[in-house]
Amino acid sequence: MWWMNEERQMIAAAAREFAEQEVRPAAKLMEEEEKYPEAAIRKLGELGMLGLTIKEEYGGAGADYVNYGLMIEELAKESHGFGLLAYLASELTLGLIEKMGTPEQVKDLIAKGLTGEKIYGICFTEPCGVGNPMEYETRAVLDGDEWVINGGKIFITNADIADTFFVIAKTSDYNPATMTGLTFFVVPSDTPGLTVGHIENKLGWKGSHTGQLYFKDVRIPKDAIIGAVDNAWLPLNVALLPMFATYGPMNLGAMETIFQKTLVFLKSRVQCGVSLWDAHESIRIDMMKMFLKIDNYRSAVYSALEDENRGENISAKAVALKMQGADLLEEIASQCIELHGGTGTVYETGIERFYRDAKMGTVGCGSNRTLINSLASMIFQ
Amino acid sequence: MKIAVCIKSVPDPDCYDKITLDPVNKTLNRAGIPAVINVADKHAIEAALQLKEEYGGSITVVSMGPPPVEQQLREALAMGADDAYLLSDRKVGGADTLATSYAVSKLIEQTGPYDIILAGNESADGATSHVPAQIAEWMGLGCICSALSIRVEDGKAIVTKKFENGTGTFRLGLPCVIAVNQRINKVRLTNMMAVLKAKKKPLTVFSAADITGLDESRVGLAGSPTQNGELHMAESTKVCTMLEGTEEEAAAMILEKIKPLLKA
Repeated sequence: MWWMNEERQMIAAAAREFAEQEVRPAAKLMEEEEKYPEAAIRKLGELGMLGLTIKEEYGGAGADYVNYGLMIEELAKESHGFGLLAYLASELTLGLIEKMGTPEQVKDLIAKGLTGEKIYGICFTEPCGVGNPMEYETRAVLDGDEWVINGGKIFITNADIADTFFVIAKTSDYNPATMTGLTFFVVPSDTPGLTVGHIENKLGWKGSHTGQLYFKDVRIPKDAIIGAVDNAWLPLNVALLPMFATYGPMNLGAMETIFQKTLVFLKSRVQCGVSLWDAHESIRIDMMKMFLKIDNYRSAVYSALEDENRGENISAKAVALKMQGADLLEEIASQCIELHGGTGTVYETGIERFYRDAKMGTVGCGSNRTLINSLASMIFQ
Repeated sequence: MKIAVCIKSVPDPDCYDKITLDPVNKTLNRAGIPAVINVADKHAIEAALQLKEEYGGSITVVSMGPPPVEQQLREALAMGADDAYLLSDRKVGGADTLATSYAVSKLIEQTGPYDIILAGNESADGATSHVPAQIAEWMGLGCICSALSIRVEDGKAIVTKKFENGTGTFRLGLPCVIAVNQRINKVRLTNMMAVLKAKKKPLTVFSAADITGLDESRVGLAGSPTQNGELHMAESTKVCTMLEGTEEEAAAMILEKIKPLLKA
């Protein structure tokens, strides 16, 4: 593969070793007990795997985005949900502070995030819908040297886990033409007035704690904002949207696991003295079609990450990778379960959970139906 | 404390089922099989890291093989070694364990001196366990194989060794050669920062001509008294028979099957 070199092979091998030793047992507890993989996430920090792309001057490894993608791919081979949590604990939140934070925020938040000492969460969605900021009800009002936040958020990942949340709230009426009126705030989870509500029992991404947050007269310092007042869309566009590309290697890792497990099953499942693989041309054709789709997706993923390395704006590509990958993962998982027959629906076979996670991918962090509309705007307007 | 660790690049044991035999040349066809650091050698690197943490010093990894072995040396540097040396030359190719140990001992002499020379107890491919003891013999040093623990006291290495029916503890003068058993430790996970820094660590490649005092008649195929004989792929003729019926019926059937063997 054109994007691989000696260093990247070592990065992938180190991540694979971590995934097999740490993520595999953690994933079992995530699925069976809805347990957040705290020890494994913090161990990522100990091994320099949180904030891999964060600049060395900020304490990161200063690696490029392909190296980061290879790491996420290996983690997601064991658990798509763990890949998501690693992304949230690293490039999504730390990348936001790196690109848009003040020097003080960089020093404090990044340093603690890199080691896994602190875990962060991002709060967007409200009952009116994530893509409907006009009707967001969470508001922040300046009172002397403090912002006072009131409102509520839903579907917040790490709701009862995060040490600090990065919260979007209205600071003036939202203007859709200029996309102004929203501000990003830094809110420690132990701030008086901030309470955690119901944690959802979701279809997939088990072990990622997704829940509600309530803000009642939550007071934070005036300077606890990311970027400028009324301009949350700048951090969103500069830091968050490009990192949607992370869903690429996440989806890819999950697809590869499902495909490999299915291939092994088809070659070892013998009926009337012949393996299913040898007996059925149609099965070989189905598998080959899937292989080619995964291979094409892999090329698109690492091509986009190389573009990111070159400093190109990959926001549109990143959104497309998230959408296409989620759909493709669902398709692959569905087909592989069918090729297994009843065995594929059994938890212990290790495939059906990827199918559930695939469906989460089509609706989580911006549903495909919302994102495709945004993508049309990004490309054609 | 200066520590040298001998490592060997071997075909990935996870891919052994993909290795085939060239029926004409009687060699293993390793095309497409990834190379990795021999597993026991990784435990030797971990042992070196623990000794360095305890007593300070430096870790040098050495190996012999074709240029792609640089990749495995880089991996060793990523694990925490400080520098690396590779002896790579067609003249040393095709070596048996005697010629290998001679060439590696010369490489160690050239890059040393070292206080402790570590190696894995055996390689995953050859599995002779010859090389560590032979290196010690060439260098005139004491040697312990199958080490389960190592510490240093009063300038001596205190090494516990595994025997077939137990363990024994030995005191060796430094420098010495120690081949480690895989049970000696758990190899730590690799730090990503260390991977990225590995490319900046020194890795030197020597040819045979670069090694002072190397007797070329003792290296490579020419210096190897042992040669491969006929090689054959093992054929599995085992057949699994499924016994049906109740547990008691199946137990009776098993008994019938093994009775003739017991008599024999």
